[in-house]
This record gives sequence, C-alpha cells and structure tokens, in this order.
Amino acid sequence: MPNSTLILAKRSLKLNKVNSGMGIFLAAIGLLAFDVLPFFYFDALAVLVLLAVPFMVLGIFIFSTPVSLLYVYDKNNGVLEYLISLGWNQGDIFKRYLKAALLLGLILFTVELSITMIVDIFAGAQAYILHDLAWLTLIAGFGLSVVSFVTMAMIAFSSLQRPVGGNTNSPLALSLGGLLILPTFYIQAFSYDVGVLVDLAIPVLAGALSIVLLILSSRLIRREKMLP
Amino acid sequence: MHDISFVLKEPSIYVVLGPNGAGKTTLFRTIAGILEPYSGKILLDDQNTTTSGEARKRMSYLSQYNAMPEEMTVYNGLKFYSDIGGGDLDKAIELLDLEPLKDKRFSDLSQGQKKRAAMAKVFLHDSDLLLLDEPTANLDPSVSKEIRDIILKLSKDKIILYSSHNLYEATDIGTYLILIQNGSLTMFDKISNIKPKQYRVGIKASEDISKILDVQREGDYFVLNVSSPEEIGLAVKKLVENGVQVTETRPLDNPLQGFFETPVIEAEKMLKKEAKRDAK
Repeated sequence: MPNSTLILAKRSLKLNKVNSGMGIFLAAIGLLAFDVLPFFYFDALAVLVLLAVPFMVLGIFIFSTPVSLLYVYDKNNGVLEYLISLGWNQGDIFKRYLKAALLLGLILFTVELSITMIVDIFAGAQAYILHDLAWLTLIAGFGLSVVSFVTMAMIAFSSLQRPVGGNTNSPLALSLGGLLILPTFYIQAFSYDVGVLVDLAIPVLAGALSIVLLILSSRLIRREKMLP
Repeated sequence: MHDISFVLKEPSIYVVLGPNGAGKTTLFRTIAGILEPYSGKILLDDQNTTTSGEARKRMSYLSQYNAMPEEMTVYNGLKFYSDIGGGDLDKAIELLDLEPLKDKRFSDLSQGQKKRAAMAKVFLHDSDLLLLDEPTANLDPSVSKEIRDIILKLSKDKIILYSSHNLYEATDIGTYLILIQNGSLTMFDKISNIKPKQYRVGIKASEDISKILDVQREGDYFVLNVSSPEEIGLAVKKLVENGVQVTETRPLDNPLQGFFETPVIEAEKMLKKEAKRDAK
C-alpha cells in the first residue's frame, strides 16, 4: 500500500483549500506574536508567547481538518466501502486517515519551527533558541494531541457529523477540537501561571482522550459506520 | 437477511433481482466481505470472503456509488486504487475505452462516463467474481445498453453477480435468476426455465380480429391471453386461414413480471384483511 497516507494528505489539501489557508493564516499570526513582536515589545515577551500558543496550535489543528472532512466525503461517496472491498479493514482505514491528519499537522509545525529558528539565528537571538524550542515542543504536543483526538473522535463518531448543506459538513468532532483550544485564548488574562498550566493541561487531556479512543477503537470503529 | 444459500458454479451472469429494499445491496456487501454475516459464511472456493484478504482480492465490487475521488482526473483516480490494490491500470483504461477521458476530472464527466470510469476499477484486476450492484441505475436507456454491452463483452469466463430491479434488463443480460424478496432467497433458476402462467400477446392485424379470437383491443394491439407459446402459433394460423394479414406479434409482459406482482397482491390482500378486522 505505497504512499496511501501521503495521497490522503494531498487529496485533503486539494479538496479543502479554505481550511488549509485559514490554518496557515492563524499560524502566521502566532508566528508574528512569537517571533517578531518580542523584538519590539520585549517586556511583554511572556504574554506574547502565551498569546502565540493558541494561534499556532489552532493553525496546526485547522490545517489538518481537511483530513476529517475528506473522511466524511470518502464515506459518503463510497470510497471507504470500496477500500474495504479491496481488503482493507476498518483499522487500516482509521490508521491511514489519522496518519494523514498528523502528517499535515506535522508539516505546518515544521514550518513554524523552521521560521522561528531562522528568525532567532538571523536576528541574533541565539540565546532564546532553547526557550523557543521548549515552547515549540509544547505547541507540537498540544497541536498534535488535539489533531489526533479530533481525527479519532471524528472517525469513531462520524455518524454524528452534521450536514450543513450541499457537500459541506460540520463534523461534531471539529467543534470539540475548537472547544479544547478556546480557553487558551483568554486564560492568560487571569494569570501567567494559570495560562502556562492550562497550556500544559489541555494537551495532556487531549492525549489521554486520544489514548482512550485508541483503546476503544476496535469497538467504536465498525465497518457499517464506514458505508455511505 | 435470512434463508439465503446458493452456489455459483459456472461462469455466467447471475442476475440478482428484487424490489427496492429487498436486500440486494446487503447481499452484495456481505459477499464482498464488507459486512459480516451474523451467521453462516460465504466461501470462494474454500476461502471465507469475510476473513480472507486473499479471497477478497479475487473479487471485484462495483457499488451503486461510483466510489471515485471526484476531485481527481480519471487516470489519477484509477491510479489511486491501483496503488492501493495493484492491477493493470493501462489495461483497464483500454478495456473501458477511457483514453479520451483519462485526463478529465471525474466530477466533470457525464453520468454515463462516470459509470464507465467507475467500472474501470473493477477491471483493474483479472478477478474471478464480479459483483455489480445496479450498474445501470439512474442511467438513460442508451447509456444503460452501452454499459450492459461492455459487461457482456468483458465478462466471458467470469462469474458475475449483477443486481437490478429492472425486469427487462434482467432478461436481457442474465442467464440465471436469483430472486430476493423481503431479505430472503425465493428463487434460483435459469431464466430460460422460467415460464409465466399466462402469456399476454399483442397482435397487429389488417382488420378487426375480435370475431375470430377472444381478444381485447388495447391501443394499436389486439391482446390475446394464452397459457402456452404453442397457442400463439395456433392463433396466428387461425387468423391467416381466415384471410387476416398479421403484421406484428409481440409479448406484452416480461416473463419475470409475476415475481414482482405477487408480493404486491399479497400485501393488498393483507391490507384488506386488516381493514376488515379493524372494521369489525
């Protein structure tokens, strides 16, 4: 089964350019707060970093959502049914769509990482590379745990997806993902420490939920649910 | 579904006929290994199609949905499947005459072209068993005929299960009939063995023949009801002997029609009984 994950990732981006574009836009805002604004408002570095986290995480999440939408699309037009008839089982399908979503998330994170390192090096802020790497590790963990939770929930509870009109869908799991990230936008207004704590707690929660869904996947993800 | 058991021995087209909701698609999905049967098993030679990936690779399934990535070109869509499941992409394109369409987006094709392109994925492999679930549904008659001709041309030496709820299509393409009603198998026989209880024949003649034969006028035809094909020959002979010029005789009913009428009549009887009971 060569490159099937890559093919799914490419198809997702091709099918849903709006979400991909929005993901890049949000990541760009996050990068602006993380990499550029501290040069002008150094005293507000801590606040700017906390503000950058939700934008960069949301960017990663939104950039990967086309995979969830592709899953619904492929389910509705019979592609998943045909893949099962080719010998794939529900686990194969689940893993490949999950990998494709994580791949997209990872691609955008790699871009965020590369830009931050380039800015640090070229702006002479090498002293902050470790600081930035620590925060970027948190952003990667946060972003990818939300992506994995949302994609798994999306596949497990795809029957709960809500058609909005035409071919568009507003899967329930996507709203759940948004809800997970939402507190990080305003929580730092109360206290820096609480902000950091929430930024650490949410990925742990999303990761734990992902593990629970992974354990239950054989029960939750059934072939019948993949049929149009 | 329940009480379904049959063996497909010889390469041929087996038409699975049944009204909407009879269970044809469920039967196909179960044979294709997509759905697991609650009890019983489906064997391809000795391999269980539900559990054996090898068995599933010997079958090709065309669902009612085109199951093609709509945003891709025909070539890339077929390549997507050949990359996953293997198969000879160029041969499938050649067999279905898709060369002029291969660089077009699937979503830009007409319904007939879409069906032809979707069928190509079934012929990526040289499968022993083809499962074609209503391949001509929602197509106009000329495109349906084109699709049936392709299937007939490409289906030699293969076992084909072909589902339909179209009686004329069934008699046109099928050798065997598998009749599914209310989720169970009600008949499995050669279509040529199926004889209707009554034949309705339309006769066009040079003059009014109602004085010679017991017929009713329906449009351009005099309609004759007989119980065997031999009686049709005798009736025509009688007309000719009486100096009538017979210009056309044609069957007005499909031999399979009775299978669809019976449940409706039974259902109507049941409804009438229920109504009487309620009235009491």
